[in-house]
Amino acid sequence: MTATTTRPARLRALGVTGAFALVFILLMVVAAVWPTLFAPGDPDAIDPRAAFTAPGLAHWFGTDESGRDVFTRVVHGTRQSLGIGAAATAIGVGLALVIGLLAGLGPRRLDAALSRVIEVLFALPSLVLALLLVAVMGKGVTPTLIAVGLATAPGYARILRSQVRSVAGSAYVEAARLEGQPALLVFGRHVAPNTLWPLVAIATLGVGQAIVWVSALSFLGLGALPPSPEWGAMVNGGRVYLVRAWWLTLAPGLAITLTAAALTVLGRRLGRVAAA
Amino acid sequence: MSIFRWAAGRLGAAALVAWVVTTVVFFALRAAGGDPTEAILGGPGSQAGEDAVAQARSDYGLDRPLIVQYLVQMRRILTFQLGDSYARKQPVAELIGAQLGSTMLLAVCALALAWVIALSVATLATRAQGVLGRVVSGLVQAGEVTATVMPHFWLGAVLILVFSSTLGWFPATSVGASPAGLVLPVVTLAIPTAGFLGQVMRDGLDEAAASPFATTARARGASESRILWRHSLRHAALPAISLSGWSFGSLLSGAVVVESLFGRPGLGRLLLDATSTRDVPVVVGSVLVVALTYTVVTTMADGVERLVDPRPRGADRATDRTLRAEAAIV
Amino acid sequence: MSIDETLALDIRGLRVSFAGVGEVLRGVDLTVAPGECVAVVGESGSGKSVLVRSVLGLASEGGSTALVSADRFTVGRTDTRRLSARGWRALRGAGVGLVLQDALASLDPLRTIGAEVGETLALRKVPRAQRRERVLRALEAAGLDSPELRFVQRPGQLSGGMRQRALIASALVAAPPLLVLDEPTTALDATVAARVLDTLAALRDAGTALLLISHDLAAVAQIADRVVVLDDGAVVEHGPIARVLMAPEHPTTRRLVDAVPHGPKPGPAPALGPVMLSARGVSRTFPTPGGGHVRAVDNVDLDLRRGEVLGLVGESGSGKTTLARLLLAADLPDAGDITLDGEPWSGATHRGRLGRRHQVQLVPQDPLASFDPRFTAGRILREALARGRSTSSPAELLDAVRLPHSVLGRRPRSLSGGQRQRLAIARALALEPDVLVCDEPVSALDVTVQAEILDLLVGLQRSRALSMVFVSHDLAVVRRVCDTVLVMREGRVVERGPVEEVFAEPQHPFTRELLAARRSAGPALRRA
Repeated sequence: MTATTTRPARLRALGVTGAFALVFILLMVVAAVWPTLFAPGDPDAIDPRAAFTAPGLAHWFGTDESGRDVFTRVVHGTRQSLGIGAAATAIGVGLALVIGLLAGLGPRRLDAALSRVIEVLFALPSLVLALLLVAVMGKGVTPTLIAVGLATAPGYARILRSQVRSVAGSAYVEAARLEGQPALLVFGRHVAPNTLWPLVAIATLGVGQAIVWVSALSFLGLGALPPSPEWGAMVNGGRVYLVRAWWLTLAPGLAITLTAAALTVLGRRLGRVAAA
Repeated sequence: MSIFRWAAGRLGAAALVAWVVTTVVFFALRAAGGDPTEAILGGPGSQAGEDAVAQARSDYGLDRPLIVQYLVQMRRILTFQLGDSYARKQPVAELIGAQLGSTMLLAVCALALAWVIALSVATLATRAQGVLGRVVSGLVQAGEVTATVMPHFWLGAVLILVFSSTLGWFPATSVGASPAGLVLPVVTLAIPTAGFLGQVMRDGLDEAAASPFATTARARGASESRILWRHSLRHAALPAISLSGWSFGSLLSGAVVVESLFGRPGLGRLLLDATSTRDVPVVVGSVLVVALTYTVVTTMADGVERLVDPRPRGADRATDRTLRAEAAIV
Repeated sequence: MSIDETLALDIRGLRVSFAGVGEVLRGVDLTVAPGECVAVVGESGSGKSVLVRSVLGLASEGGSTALVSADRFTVGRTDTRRLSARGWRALRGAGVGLVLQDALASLDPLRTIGAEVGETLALRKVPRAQRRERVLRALEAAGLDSPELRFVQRPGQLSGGMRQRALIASALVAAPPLLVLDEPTTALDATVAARVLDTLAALRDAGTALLLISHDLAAVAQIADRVVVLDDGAVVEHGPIARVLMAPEHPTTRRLVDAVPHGPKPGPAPALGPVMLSARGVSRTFPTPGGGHVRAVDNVDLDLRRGEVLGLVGESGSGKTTLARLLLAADLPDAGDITLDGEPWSGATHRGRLGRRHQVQLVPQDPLASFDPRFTAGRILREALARGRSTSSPAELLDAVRLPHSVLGRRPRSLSGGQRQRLAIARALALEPDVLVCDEPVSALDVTVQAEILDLLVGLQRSRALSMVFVSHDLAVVRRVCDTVLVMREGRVVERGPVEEVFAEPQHPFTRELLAARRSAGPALRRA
C-alpha cells in the first residue's frame, strides 16, 4: 500500500463529522481504559448530605439519591457499557462470519438452507429475540451480553452473505481466476479483504446499536442492576426520581445516545473510507 | 408467480418461524439446565416441597422423556395450543389475546406517525436549495442519525419530563385507548423509526431527482415539485415500504420498553414479566405472535409495494431492495 | 440585436462556467434552421453535455450553479436570456424537446408509456381524451408499432429500440420546433440504430430542427446536414458534413475523422501457424426466468490458428460473449468440446486447466470492474506476473502498452477509460498468453481513444504472434482488426470467412442487413 498518497485521502474521506465522531469515540475508549483520568473520584462514594444536588460546578452532572457524583459514575460506566456493546457485537459478528461465509461460498443447497434460517431469525425483532434468550439463560450481565450478541447475528449474517456473494461473483474475482490463481489464493487476496472491510464499518455501527440494546435490557431490570454504573442501569435507577432529579436520567441517557450516534457516523464514514 | 404460490410461501415461512423458535427454545432451555418446575411453583427461590414438585412435574408432563415432551409441544403448536402459563396458571392464548390489541394499537399508530414525520421531513428537506439546502440537509441528517439511535427508554423519559411533568399536557401513564394517554408512548416509539425511514426516503428522493428520467421530465417542462410528487416520491417510497415490515418488528421491540416505562398493559409487558419469571410458555407464545405479526405486516407491505410498483418482479427483488436500503443506511 | 425568426435555435457567444470548475463552454456559436439537422461532435470533456443542458436551461441541474451568458440565445422566437424559471418551464417540452441516450433510465420505469409521453401535454392542461389521441399519434410518428398497446405498457416491457422510440415520442408529442438528441443511437444495435436514424430523418424532412450530439462522426453522418466540432468548450470547426468529413481543417476534426474505423486491415496478411484453439459442436443453454431455456450458443465450430485474429460479430443477444467465455473456460459448454493447443480444454479437469490458464487471457469490456478496487496498478501487474512465466517487470509492461510509469502507484479508478483498458491489456500480457480474447474492448470508449487502443492491440498481436478472438458489434472495427470473421445470430454462426470476402460478398441476408446498416451510417466514409 502506498501510504504516502492514500492515508491523507482516507482521512479526507472521513470528513469533519467523521473526524469529530472518531475523536469522541477515542475519548470514550480512553475513559473506558483509564476512567480516573477524567473523573478521579470514586463512583460509589456516598455522601448523603449532598444527595440530589443539581448539576453545577461542584458536580457537573449533579448527584443521585445517595449523593454519588453522576459525572464520575457515567465516566466509570463507560468501561462496562462500551465493553458489553463491543463483546456482544463480537459474538454476533463471529457467529455471522461462520454462517455468512458458509452460505456465501458453500454449495447452493447449504446456502438455501442457511438463508432460510437467517431470514426466519431476522423475522424476529432483535430485542424480542434477546428477551427470549434471556428467558432461557436467566438474568444478569453475561446472559444479556450473549443474548444481544446472538440476536444481532442474523442481521450481520444476512449482510455478510450478500456481500460475499457479490464479491465472489465480481468481475475482478473472475479475472483473478482466469489468471490461474488457485481458489484459496483468490479467497485470501480478493474475497476476504473486500468482504471484511465493509464488515468493519457495519460492526462499528453495530456496537452503537448493541450498547442501546444492552442498556435497554438493563433498564428493564434484566441485565446490570443498580448500583452498577452501567448506563442503562443508571437510567433505570434514576427514573423513580425523574421529576425530582431529571439529571439522573438525562446524563446517562445522553451518554448512550451520543456514543451510539458517534459510532453510527463513524461506521458510515468508515464504509466510505473502505470504498476509497 | 401466482398469488397462491406467493401466499403459500408466506404461510410456509410463518410455519418455519414457529418451528425454529419452538425447537430452539425447547432444547436451549433444557440444555441451560433450567427446571421449569421452579417457575411453575412461584419463580426462582420457591420453597415448595418435594411432593408439590413431583405433582407439578406430572401435571405439566415434565416427567416424560425429552423427545416425547418435544413432540407434545410441537403438536400443541401445530394445533394452535400454546399451553398454560407456568406463573399465572392461565391458558397462554387467553393471556396474549387480552394484551394483543393494546400493543397493536400502539405499534400501528407509531408506524403511521413515523411515516408522516419521515415523509414531511424528507420532502421539506429536498425543497431547500443552495447554501440553505446544504445547511438544512446537514441538520436533518444529524437529526435522523440521533433519532435512529436514541434509546426508547430515555426518549420516553425525556418526553415525560417535558410534556407531562413540566408542561402537564399529556399524562405520563396510560391505560387503554384514551387518546391523551396514547400520545407520549406513540411519539416515543415513532421518533426512532421516523429517523430510520426518513434516511431511506431522503436517499431515495436524492437518487431519483438525479436520475435521467427526472432530467427528461424537466425537459418536458415539469417543475421540481411535480417531479417530487409525480416521479421521485414513488421511487423513494418503495424501499421505505419494504422496510416497514422490519420496522414494525422493531416497534414491537420498542413496545416492550415503552409499555414498561408508561405503565401500559400489552404484549410487551406480558413478555417482559414472563421473561423475568422464566415463564417459558408465555415467552414462546409471545415470540410466536410477534413473528406471526411480522409475517403478516411484511406480507401487507409486499402487497402495498406491488400497488406502487406494478413491474413484474424477479424471485427475491424485495429482499434485494431491503438489503440495498439497509446498505445505504449503513 | 434582432431575433432571426427563420432559425429554430440561434446561439452566439455562449459561455457557461461553474464555481470551482471554471469555464466549460467558451463562446459557442450555434444555429439550427427548421428542417435542418446540425450535429455537435466532440470527445468526452469537450462540453457537449453542458451544451445540451444549456439549450434547455438545465445547466445548473447537477446541483452546482452554472453561470450562463450569451450575446444571443434564442429558441424559436423566445430570447431565453431574460427568461424566468417559469418561462423556461413553459418553453421546455413545447418549444424544445430532449432525447437522452439511455432510454431505460430516461423514462420513469414506474409509469406507463402513455403517462410518460403525455406528461408534456398534461403539464399544459390538455384534456385527457385529446391527450391520448396526441400521444398515440406521437408514438406512431416515432415509428412504434401497435401504439395502443404501448400506451399501457411500461418501459421495462419494451426492447431497447422501442424504448428509444418511446423517448423520441415523448420529446415530440407537443410538436416542438426543435429537438435536442444526446447520443440517441449509441446504446442501440447497428440495425436498430439505422432504423431510428431513418425515423429522425423523416422528422427533419417534416420541418423539425434537430440538434444531434455525439462523440462519433460516423454515427451522425447519415442524417446531419452540418456539423460543429467542439473541443475544450469551443467550436473549432463547422461546415457541411461532407466537407468536414472529406477535408477536415482543424487537427481535432482530423483526429476525429481518422479515428472512425474504416477500410480493411492495414499491413500484410499474417503468417498463420498451427491451430491454437478449436471448438467442435459447442453449445451452451441457460434457463430463462419463465422456466424455459435459451440456447445462447448453438452448435458452433471454430478454429483459431497461431497469429490469426478472429472476429465474432453479432447484435446483443447473439451469443458472442457467451462463446467468448466458453473459449476462456470461464464457463463450460453443455455439449461439444474445446481444445487448446491440441489438448483438452473444456474437457480437462479443473486442476488441469489451472496450470494452463495463462495461455488464454481476457481483455474485458469494462476493465475497471475487473480490477480489485483496493489494488494499485503496480500490484495488479505484479500479481499477474506471479502467475505467468514472464520475466518482464511491471515497468516494461507499461512501456509495451504505452502507459507512463507514474500510474504504477495509482488505483485504476483514478485512470481514464483508455488508460484502464491499456492496463487491462498489460495485465493480460503479463501472463505471456498464446490467445487473447477481447470482449468488446473499445465499445465504451471515445472514438479517438478507441482508435489508439485498436492500433495498440493490432501492434501487440503482430509483434508477439498472438492469436486473438475479437468480439464486437461493430463491423467496421472488426474489419480493421480481424483476418477472419464469424457472424453470429441467435447463438448460431450464420456466416464465416476471411473478413474482406465477407464484406465484399455477404452470403447470409443478416450479414447483408448488418453491412447495410453500417454503410448507411457513413455514406461519406465509403470512399475508403
